[in-house]
Amino acid sequence: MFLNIYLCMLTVVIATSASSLTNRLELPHPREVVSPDVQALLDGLSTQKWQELVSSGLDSINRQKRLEENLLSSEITVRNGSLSHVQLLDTLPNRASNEDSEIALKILKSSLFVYNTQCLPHDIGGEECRAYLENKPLPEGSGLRSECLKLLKSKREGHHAFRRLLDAHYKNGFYETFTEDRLPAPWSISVALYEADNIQKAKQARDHADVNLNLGIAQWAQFVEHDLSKPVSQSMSNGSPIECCNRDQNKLQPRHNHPACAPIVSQASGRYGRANCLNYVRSALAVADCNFGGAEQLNQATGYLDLSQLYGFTPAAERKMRTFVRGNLKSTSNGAHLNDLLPMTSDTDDKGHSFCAWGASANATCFAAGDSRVNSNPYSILVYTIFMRNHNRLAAELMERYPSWSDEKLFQSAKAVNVDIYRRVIMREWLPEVLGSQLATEVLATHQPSSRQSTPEISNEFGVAASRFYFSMLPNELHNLAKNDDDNYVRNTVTPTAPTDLFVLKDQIYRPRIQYTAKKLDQILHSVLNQRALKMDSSYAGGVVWHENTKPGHADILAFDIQRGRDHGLQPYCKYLEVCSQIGPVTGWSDFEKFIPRNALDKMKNIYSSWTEVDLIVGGIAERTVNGTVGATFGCILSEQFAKVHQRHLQEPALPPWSASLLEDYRYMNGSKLLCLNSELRATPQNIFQLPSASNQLIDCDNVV
Amino acid sequence: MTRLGLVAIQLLLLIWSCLGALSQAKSLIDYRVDNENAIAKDVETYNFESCQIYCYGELLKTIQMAKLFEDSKTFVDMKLKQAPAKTLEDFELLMESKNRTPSREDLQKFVDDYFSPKGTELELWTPTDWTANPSFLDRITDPDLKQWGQELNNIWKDLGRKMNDDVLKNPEYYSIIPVPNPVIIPGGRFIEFYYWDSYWIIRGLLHSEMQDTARGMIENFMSIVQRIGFIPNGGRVYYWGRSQPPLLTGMVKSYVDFTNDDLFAINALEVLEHEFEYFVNNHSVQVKGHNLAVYRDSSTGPRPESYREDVETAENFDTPEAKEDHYSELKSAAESGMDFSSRWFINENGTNVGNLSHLRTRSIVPVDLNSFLYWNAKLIAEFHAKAGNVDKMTEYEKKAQTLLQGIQDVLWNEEAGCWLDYDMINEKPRDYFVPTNLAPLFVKAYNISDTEKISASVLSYIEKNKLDTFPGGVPNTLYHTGEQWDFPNVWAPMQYIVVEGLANLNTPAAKELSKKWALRWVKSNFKAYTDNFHMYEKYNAEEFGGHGGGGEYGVQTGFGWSNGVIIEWLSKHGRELSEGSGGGGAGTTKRLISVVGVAAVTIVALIAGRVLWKSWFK
Repeated sequence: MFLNIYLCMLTVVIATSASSLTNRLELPHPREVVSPDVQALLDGLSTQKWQELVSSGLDSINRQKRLEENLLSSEITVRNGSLSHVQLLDTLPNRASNEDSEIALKILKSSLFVYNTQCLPHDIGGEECRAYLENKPLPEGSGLRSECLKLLKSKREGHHAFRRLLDAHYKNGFYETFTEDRLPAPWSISVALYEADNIQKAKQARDHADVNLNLGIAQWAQFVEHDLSKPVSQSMSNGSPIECCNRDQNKLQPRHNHPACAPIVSQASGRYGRANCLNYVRSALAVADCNFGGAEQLNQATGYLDLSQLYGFTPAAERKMRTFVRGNLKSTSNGAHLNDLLPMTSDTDDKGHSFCAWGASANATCFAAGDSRVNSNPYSILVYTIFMRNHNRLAAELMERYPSWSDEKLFQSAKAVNVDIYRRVIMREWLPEVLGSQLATEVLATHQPSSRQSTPEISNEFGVAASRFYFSMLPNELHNLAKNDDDNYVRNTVTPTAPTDLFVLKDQIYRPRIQYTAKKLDQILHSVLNQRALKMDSSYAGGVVWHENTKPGHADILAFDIQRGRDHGLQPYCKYLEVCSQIGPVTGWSDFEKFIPRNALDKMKNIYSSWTEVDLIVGGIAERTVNGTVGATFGCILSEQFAKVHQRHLQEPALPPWSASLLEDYRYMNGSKLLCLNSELRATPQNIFQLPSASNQLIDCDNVV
Repeated sequence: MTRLGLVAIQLLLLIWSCLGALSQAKSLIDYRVDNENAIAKDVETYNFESCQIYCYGELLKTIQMAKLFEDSKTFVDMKLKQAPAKTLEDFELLMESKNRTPSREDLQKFVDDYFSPKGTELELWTPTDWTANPSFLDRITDPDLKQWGQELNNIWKDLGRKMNDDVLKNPEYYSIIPVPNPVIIPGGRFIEFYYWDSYWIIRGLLHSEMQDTARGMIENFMSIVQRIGFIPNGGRVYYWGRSQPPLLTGMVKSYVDFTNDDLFAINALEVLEHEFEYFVNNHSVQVKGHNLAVYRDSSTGPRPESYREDVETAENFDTPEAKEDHYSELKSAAESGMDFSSRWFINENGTNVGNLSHLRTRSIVPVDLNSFLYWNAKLIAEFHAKAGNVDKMTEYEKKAQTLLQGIQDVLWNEEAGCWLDYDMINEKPRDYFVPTNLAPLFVKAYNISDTEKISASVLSYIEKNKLDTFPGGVPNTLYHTGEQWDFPNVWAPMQYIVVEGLANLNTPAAKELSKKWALRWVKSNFKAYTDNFHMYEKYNAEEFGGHGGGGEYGVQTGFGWSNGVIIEWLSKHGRELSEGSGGGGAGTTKRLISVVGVAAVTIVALIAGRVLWKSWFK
């Protein structure tokens, strides 16, 4: 204990002294040091011993297959239509990810054998042991090494390990999470932070009437998340999904626990109470290099904005989305371009249930796109649809201008323009709303890195914590802000007294129940632009958390994010506060006061027994917002990430050679024009992320060409 | 104070001997008849009145199938508020009034009305012979390990239990089996005494100089044998029809070794013989012309304490007979102590791949059981020798030799170089590693003249199975099925049998490995203890200091047999566990040094500033 605090303080000293050396978009990353004694001891192991340790790791993984066979024969796997199915779609791995994860797991298991047989018995701590192993190549001539090298040389379908802003934080330094005996259970944190919807509403009306953000900010935040970050679940070695709860949403018998299970469970209450259970499968791992080392999580997404969520993350996925005629993307066509909907899964040969969590009802609506998360909710369906329409609109325009172009050339050109428009909306319109204009400007001022630097991937902290801020901004219902009798939305900037709801969020998650028509999407778009976003804070709408002690009817996003943060080995909130805010070492709750409002802080004190325990997501969402939408710490993590994303945009244009001038032709496009041209809205606000107002005037779509 | 305590104990014993006599009078069976086969486990002798509530019947079935409690054992450990007959009567009325399909709420109400919470029959009890500084502590050099030894000694006070007076007055209201003396329980969900656990608990007690408590527990078991002829799995009436690996005679031997109280062994002989005969008669099979024993249960129905779980696995079977057979296999596996394990799986292809529906416990001749029976016969002969009963001594020596012959002919496998369980269905040895394959070493069930050969062959068996590669101990099997007596779980009693067995071989190589494994086990348990201040029921072979998992219930802490084994090995190896053996408790100082090292490097780094930073960032 003493040791930990001591080391923690050291890190703080290092961190703070380093931060002055760098600009605020580059965070210092102190690393654990290996003592000469430890170095000598581990260097002394023979090659044969290293081989032996690797083979122990492999044996261990092979033994797990027996368990997996038993689980499958007992039908312990994700059932279609279940809550776990919903969650699986959020974290659905593809085959290449499974293969990568399997090799990474072999390396991890081998490393754990080193730790358990060579480090621990000699009192070498996990962090130091890992630091040594991270520089220790897998033994020459071992099968694992060649398997690993082969993988690194392959294209890996574009996925990579998440980057870490700070060192991994695991109980054993490698992979073991801090569990309920050390930290409050994720679900109980979520329940304790919950506020009844009417209280939330009252608070919102009282405190945040000045906030002018509309729901577009949250909608696009999710779209960006889908593009940049996709942690996926581990699978069984035959690819079957892992289930960690029984069919009554209670705990499984221990005999049925897959080693990758870390279910989110509630406390049983009363004599006859049972602990409720929500599935959580630990995230797939990625090979970082062919050295031993700790767990690194896999990101099944590229580290820059490329609309892969729409076009598909792999060439194979992209082929599924294309018509191969006139450069178009597939769609469910209803005549005019503006009536097109996303293609149905049946149009893309999706055999499984990899897009919607419908059970037996195979005929239900289910849209297809490049990412399993398209049907996450109506907001996502809408924004995916806009970009699909925009692509096809561009392709049509281009074909008119260049009738000789092939399908391929049309497709690639339309895609390049579409991505370019999207990047500009994100970086120049959305980001300033999220970060504040000053920080966003700094992000865009980042220079192209020198070519020797490795390409910066998405950070773990961004992927599983900071990018998730938008969930607390989503309301339970989207009101219908259109007048019932006409579709002349333009004049309807005042909320009708008794709005009807377009949908209730919790009913729509991965189950598109709305009768989707072009008109319905226009209604949703209109309402998104005109409904105020909830403020980012630690109370989530009841539709995305499960705050009752009854059998859960839907997931709990916050509990899930807390669990995932721990799974990924994120450091606690205070560590990020230290490096981000440069306030010097955090030494107590009082250091949080500058950043977190008193009532939120009081709640946290009741939940956590120490300020050192507060999870990053919990501290991050609780922070007072500065300038933009998020607080200091999330602002720091987001800006760090977007600076890297921006660098990659500069570094890797990856465009067809002929398209440079094309992009110029479309420089006039912006968010409001994008929405105008791809919907039947009469008008959109100039700033599509803010409510229309005197300072955010409407633009007449008829004038946009 | 102590004298008063002694008087009280004597009084209690007096009362108990009277009670014992009474119960014997009620259920007297003559177990010393000439025809041995006349001795059969007879439910009539098992006349616990509360069995009609807790062992079988519609009430048990209905409540357990309603999944009222997270752990099925909870219900059968609850106390009755009314007499069994009245409870059953009123339950029948409830069933009739609810058209025989009462709701969950109806059943909850019934349980609330007719049962009180579990565990009330056993009161916390501080052993009267407990001492703060038993002398084994003096044999531990390392201060941290010594401190740990002290804390393990303290845990005996947490695990001591005494039955309250009401159990004696109204035993029919309880599922607990009344016994005269207080006990040490394993801990966790195991809130009553268990049969084979007690062997290692008693050894730990003896090392902790708690001879009275140890003797009391042995006498409890003897009183049970006198009443019902065998020792059930644990101290609950619902363990009817199943015993556990027979180690009562071994307990008596341990007690005598520590106390030199030969008379105790001699006086116990009648009971020990009875248990032995009863066990042999109810578990005997013919294999290759030899009489050997298998684990075999003689009750009906699912395990009362895991009723619903058993009914669910029985869904794999169609007929009532097949289901009943399945229940028997489950309970027989429970009798083996290894519930559950691929050790007891036989599938259609004759391998151990499968799940609980492949349990064929009764068709597998186990190495450990036959070794234990051999040991019982040897020890009974030894005690008879002490008593000067030459005839009896010869008789039991003969029984031992017969068993030994069977073990050699049927269970020893020249090809594998070890003893192996034998599959009677496919008539072949089961070449799967289980620590019990080495049980003959523990009880010396082999020809001493073959020691060198056996040592070489067993060590190469260990090498072949890579048993030395696991940082957390020798796993129970090499098959990761999810069952708790399979990979990667490691169990203290099995470490003990293997380590002591190798030590018995007394060849240099075997002794070296034995000590290495003993020290490693102690250090690994110490690591686990320092992390959470728990002793676990089971540990994890793949982790130095990690605990086990899998099976039917979560990992338990406490824990009787784990404590017993550690106390014995701290006592035995305490001086070697100090310096030079790398780690263990000796690490504290080293740890401090490494912190200073890190600090020094950091300071240098801070001074060096930029240049060093770059290399740190990679």
